[in-house]
Amino acid sequence: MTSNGSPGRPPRFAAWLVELFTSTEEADGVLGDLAEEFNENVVRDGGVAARRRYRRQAWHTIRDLALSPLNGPSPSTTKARSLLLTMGIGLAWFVMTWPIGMATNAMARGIVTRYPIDAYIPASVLWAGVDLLALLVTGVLAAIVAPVVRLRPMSVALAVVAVMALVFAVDYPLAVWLFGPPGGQQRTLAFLALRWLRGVSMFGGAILIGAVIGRLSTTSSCAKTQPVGQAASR
Amino acid sequence: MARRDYLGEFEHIVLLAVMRLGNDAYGVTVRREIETRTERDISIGAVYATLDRMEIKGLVRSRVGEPTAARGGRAKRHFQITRRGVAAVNRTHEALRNMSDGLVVARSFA
Repeated sequence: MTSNGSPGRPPRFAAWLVELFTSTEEADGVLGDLAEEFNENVVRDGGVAARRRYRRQAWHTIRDLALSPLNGPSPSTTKARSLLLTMGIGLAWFVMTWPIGMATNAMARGIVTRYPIDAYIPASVLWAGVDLLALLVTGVLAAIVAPVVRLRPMSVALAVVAVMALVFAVDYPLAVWLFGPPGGQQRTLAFLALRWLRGVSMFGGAILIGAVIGRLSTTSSCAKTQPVGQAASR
Repeated sequence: MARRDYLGEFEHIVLLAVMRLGNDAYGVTVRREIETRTERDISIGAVYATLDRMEIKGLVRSRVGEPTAARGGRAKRHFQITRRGVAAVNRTHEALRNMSDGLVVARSFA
């Protein structure tokens, strides 16, 4: 998706991304402030420069909001975040094993009994699909639960992906160190790097997409989307 | 003083900006006040992340204003320092004064 729109309007994609990374309570304030500055910049520097500055401000705002749960929280929010993380891990485990896992297992068993699709679809692909679906649902649920403890949904999703990236970085080397290489085959660094990249992009991507869906489903209905370019000309 | 009452450097600056602006403290004005006085380029996101954290700590409170056309139909979020916030600023100033008291380097900049 590209940033489109006329020079008198803020870049839509940048504004959408900012909205995604804010909580529903703060979205109006942040986007309104960016719009107010954009209107002033249009009058002072012209539309093109104003749009460039808006995009820069949007990027810095997203970066600061996304990282803020990790920056010096107060004791009460630390407790809340620990609780949410524990809940998140429990939730992910729960969702992955039951009811979706069990239901999918039962469904898969029924289908495989009736139609021999196991001859066409490798079991690993089927299970990867089940895992991705479970992670997608986990992302949606985490995004819906996060605002209850005053957390930004996308920041929570990014924190989960960061933990996942760490796990993917150490799990295989740890298993090899403990139990030896599978089948006696030595793995190269390139294999480990590719495995990490694939795992993080696939499974982390599923969580992030789920969180985006969850965040969009909780978008504040009071947020009005009046074109600011028109507002400035009044 | 309890550990939680210490202000971080940026929290301190943001609180002082909110105090200076009085009833006109919201994202844009707070950001500008800090930029003008400290020559630091900061984002609206950094201001909100800090103000949200301080609101949870009870150092500031916020209220949502009316949506305006100049803001694309979105409302302003006004911030106001609380009594606890004023106390935190005073304590931080006192701690800084105590720490710098008698230092030659501090006196030479006074």
